[in-house]
Amino acid sequence: MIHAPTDSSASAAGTSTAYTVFLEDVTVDFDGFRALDIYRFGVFRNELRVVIGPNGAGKTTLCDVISGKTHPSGGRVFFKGMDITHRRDTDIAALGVGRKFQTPTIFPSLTVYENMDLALPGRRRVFQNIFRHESPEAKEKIFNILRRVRLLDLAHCPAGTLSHGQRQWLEISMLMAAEPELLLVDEPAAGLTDAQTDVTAELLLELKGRHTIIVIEHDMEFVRRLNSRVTVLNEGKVLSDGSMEQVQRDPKVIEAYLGR
Amino acid sequence: MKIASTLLIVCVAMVIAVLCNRGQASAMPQVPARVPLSQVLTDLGSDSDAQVSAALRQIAASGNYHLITALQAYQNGLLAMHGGQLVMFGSPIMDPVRGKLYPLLNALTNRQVIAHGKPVLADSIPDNTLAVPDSDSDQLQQTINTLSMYIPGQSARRQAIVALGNAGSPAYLPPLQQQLTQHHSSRIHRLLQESIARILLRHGTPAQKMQAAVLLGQIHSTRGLELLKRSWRTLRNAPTSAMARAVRTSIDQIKGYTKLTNLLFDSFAGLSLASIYVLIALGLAIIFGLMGVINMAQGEFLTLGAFTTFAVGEIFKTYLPPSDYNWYFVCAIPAAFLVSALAGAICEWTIIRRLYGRPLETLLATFGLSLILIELIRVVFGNNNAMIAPSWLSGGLWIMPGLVFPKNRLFIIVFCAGCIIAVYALIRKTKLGLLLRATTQDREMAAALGVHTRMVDMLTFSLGTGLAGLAGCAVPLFSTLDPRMGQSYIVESFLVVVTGGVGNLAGVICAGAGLGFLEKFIEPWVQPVYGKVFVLIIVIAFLQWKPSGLFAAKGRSMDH
Amino acid sequence: MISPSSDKTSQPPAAADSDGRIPALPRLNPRVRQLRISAIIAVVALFYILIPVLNSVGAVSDLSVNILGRYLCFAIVALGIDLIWGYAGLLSLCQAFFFCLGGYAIGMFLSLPEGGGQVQKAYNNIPQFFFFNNQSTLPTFWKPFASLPFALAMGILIPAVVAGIFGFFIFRSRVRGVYFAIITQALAWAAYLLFCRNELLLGGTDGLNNFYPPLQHDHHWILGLYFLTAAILGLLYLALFKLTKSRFGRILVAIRDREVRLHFAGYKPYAFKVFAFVIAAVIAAIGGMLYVPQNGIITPGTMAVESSILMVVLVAVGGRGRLWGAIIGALVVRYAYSILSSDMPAMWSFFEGGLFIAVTLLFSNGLVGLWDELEEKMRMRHGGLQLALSVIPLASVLGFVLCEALGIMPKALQQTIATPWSVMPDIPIKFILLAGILISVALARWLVRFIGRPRGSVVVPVSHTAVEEVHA
Repeated sequence: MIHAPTDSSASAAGTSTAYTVFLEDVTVDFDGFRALDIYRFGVFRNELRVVIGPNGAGKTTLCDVISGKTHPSGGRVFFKGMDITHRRDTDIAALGVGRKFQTPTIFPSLTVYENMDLALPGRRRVFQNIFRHESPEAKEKIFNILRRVRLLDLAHCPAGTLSHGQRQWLEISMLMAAEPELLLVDEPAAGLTDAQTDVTAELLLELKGRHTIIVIEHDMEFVRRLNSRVTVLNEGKVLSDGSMEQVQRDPKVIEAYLGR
Repeated sequence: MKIASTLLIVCVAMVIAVLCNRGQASAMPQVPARVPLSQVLTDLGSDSDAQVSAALRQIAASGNYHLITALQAYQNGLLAMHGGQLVMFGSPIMDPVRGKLYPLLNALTNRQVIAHGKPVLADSIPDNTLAVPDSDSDQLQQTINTLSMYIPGQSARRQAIVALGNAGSPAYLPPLQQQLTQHHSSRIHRLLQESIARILLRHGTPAQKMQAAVLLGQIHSTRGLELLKRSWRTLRNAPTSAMARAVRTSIDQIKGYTKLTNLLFDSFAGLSLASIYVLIALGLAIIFGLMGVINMAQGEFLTLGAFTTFAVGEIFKTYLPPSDYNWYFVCAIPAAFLVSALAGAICEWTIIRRLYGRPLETLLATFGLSLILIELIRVVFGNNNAMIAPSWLSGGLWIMPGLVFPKNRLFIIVFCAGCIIAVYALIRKTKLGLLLRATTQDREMAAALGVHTRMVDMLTFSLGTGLAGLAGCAVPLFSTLDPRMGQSYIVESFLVVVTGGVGNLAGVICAGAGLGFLEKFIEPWVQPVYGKVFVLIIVIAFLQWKPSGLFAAKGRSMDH
Repeated sequence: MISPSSDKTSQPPAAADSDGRIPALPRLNPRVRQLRISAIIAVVALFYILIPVLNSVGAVSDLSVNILGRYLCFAIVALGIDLIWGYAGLLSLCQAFFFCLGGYAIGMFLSLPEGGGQVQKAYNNIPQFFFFNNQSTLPTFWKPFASLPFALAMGILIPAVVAGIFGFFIFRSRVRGVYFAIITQALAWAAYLLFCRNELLLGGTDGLNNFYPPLQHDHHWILGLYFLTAAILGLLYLALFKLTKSRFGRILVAIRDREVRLHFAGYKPYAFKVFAFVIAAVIAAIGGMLYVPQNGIITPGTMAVESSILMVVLVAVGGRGRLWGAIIGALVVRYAYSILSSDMPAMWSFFEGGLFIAVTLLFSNGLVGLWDELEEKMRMRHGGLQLALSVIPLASVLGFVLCEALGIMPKALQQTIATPWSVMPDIPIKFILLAGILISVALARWLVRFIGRPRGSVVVPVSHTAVEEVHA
């Protein structure tokens, strides 16, 4: 089994290279309120990690810190051994960190196809985008993904006309098309019907093993289906870490969820 | 809040300064006892130059300032003997039948001469008025100047003393020195010293000159600076002499002092300009920051306030006695607020309400609104109007020698501080403020809790435009009224809001103060236009460092 | 385009999935296609064939062609504004400044004797205003402007560099939306104040004038400049059309929709915004360069804060996010301006203000919206009344502008009617007629909506409505 990073005795710099993403002594303050206070948190290559925790536990802030949306007040963040603590969000994304937001964030005026097209890797510079048209392979790839998430029929509809669940899928599809090394998936099951949740879990499990994934979720049934290692956050701190069963037995977790 | 309290302290200090000044004014100096002067005056009509000269000397010694009118009439050839008494011809009045008529006034009492129960009027000024002998014309002027020193009222006396120093004739030394023994007000005392020293530096003995030079330096006399420089030029050949050293030291002392007063004045001017920016930006910040509406017509609400002030002044002028005119400004302040707020409410109700959540479109719509408002004001009031400031806002407040703060600018600073405190109190302490904050933070939640959000929107918008109206009260104190006047402030006010950070009044106050100071301190170095360009560059550079303004809201609730 | 009904979307369309065919792009309705083709042919024929021919035979006066040529320059600027505002959502309030940068560059060439400027021997053969600014020789920076290629190059290069530097700093610090609008307005204002100064040696508030007189008076020059303007407008339209259909155009729309999302997709939106801003600035400058020779004078007044906003309104009236809308809007507003300011000068300010408000409040989709409605009705095979209610307002506005532009307004409509109020000036019959048509159509549309239910409902495509970010 994998060693919990908190047990690791190796030095921070050495440890950081072993993980795809590694946080060390990271703190985030919002006007005096400490939203995040993590001593050590690491995710291995091609691992699927689920982060759970009660409201305000700092789950989304963790995503924000890794993706560069929020810069930590203290500590360091590593991605593939690189210090990305003070990098801009765009640079971090270019390094290979993809993200799905808590509320689905897509481009409503563009069609589903165009949304996917923008997510494809490469062609991030201005002049690459003016004259060249997309290759047949790119088209093929987009339609393949859309077929899987059952958005093929809507490929040429404006994304703004999609339902909530379809938007969730579109955003996940965009992540899949972008093929980032690290996927930050914030609440993929929120607001979905049970059937839709099942498909979403399927998709994530398919990605497992090829990408490093951090999933943030509330829905315990969904988390159980993912059957992966779980980290519990509470009040910005790592409370517990291990398999779903281990975590559920942890008295600290029970206390945090049920109250004192 | 810190800014507000600092401003409050400044205001209190200034009020105290005004009161102290009043106290000095009440300590009236002694006026020499009146002597019967009828005989002396009639001597002016004498043929003998010596007798006239002696009479003038006597009048000067009498210190009877009532005679200045008579002496001035004498100077202008309007004094004559009439029936054994000395009379002067007053300013002409128009008679429908006889044309221009000159009333006869008693030279001693300045009253109209009455004969057979009717005032005596002359058709023309006769040729045989008393002529001033050539040899005595200088002495006559000196006598008038000397007498001016005795006019009661601090400012008249101060002017007279300075005038004597400017004239620089040694003949003024005795009366000045005599005054020096009597006056106790430090300001007058200093002026007397200054004038005496200036005369002595020109006409005194070497020892006196030396003393005068040292004294001028000690009292930081800016009026003596030119004189000192002139004597330095003559002394340049012997720079090591004691006199030269004294002059040099004094010049340096005065220059250093001038630098200090200039710095203080610039700061004051910067503070007053900053106050205007803050005053205008405050309303803009409320509308923009709390409601997300870019109100390009904010400048026109300012214009509306300014013209309301003007209109109130006109009403007072037309319908109330002139003695009450000074009070118009007090009435104009609430009137300007109400008119602008009402106009704002109407605009919100008809236009802005339909555009919430579309900031760029509010920009276009309110720009159209501003064009219409400008044209409406032009149709109603015409193009050029000037507002007469109430007398209690004209003139300046003496702070220290060589430093006078204009009262209108002082008023703006105090007014702005008052507005800031009022707005803070309104937003932080009242029920309306609570509703306002609740609505702007989460409209749906507030509505769910039973807040009438549309009403709150309207009140917020009117508060913002009303504040612009208040700014409109203050602006015409130092600039002319013009329907387009609001346009000249709007761009800078928006820069203030952007620099300050949206939705944060403290940021807006700091940014307004900062930009105002910056502009005032750049102005002496470059043309005002380049100053504005420079301010723009500074703002852009500043935004590189802090893209969302001085006090940006932090937090994670910025998903979209 | 019809939005998919929302009840279908809660369940994935399983049937379509099973066969997994790649969907083809939606085909254009043949009737709409026909409508579009005929409209394009009509516009091209009008501007490139009919007007020049009518002018050559004398049916349309040189003055009318000159005015039309000038207004086409504004249409060019509007194209650039539509690119950054309609597509990328960047409201720039300094386009008039770039317009003037181009205009001043060509104006400098035209004021010099090499460019046909009217100089006098008494004034050393240099523009007269130098003497009022205590200059008796040509300043060094003026000298290269004696060459036309240099002036043209500078007219494009300077605005490009200014826009590039300014845009770089603004967009890099992620100044967006409203803030961007305010900062650009401050730039326009600072530039205006600067160009009013005499020490800049660009003529101060009087600007540059005394150009070669035949430019505005000689038939061949006028027609030539008109042709040049129309040709450049056509080329720019085609180029921008291509650009907006490219992936670049999609990225601009994505920036308008949700810029933050692009950051997390690894794009640097600021680079795209700077590029679009530079393109818009260069297009505005090209418009300015074509405008100045036809106008005969360029003053700082042309770059006042107000004129930049007026340029934005050209696009707003035409309809954002559709390039041809910008052109139509520019022509309609400019002609409205020239007609009103000559026939009823006192009313223009009120009308202008009202136009700003009406455009944002009542028809935020502009004239393009009316056209879209027409296409939609044709696709849905609506009846004659429904079509008429869309065609009449569009046709009356365009017809009015066309009649005025070509100077063929019937005499009967030119007469004025006195109003009972002394404040109001006399109103020409043509305005009353136009207003009457528009008001009665509006009333009829309102009635139709409540009484006669139209078949199907009109859905405005999402891609044409502006999605703006709200900064709370």
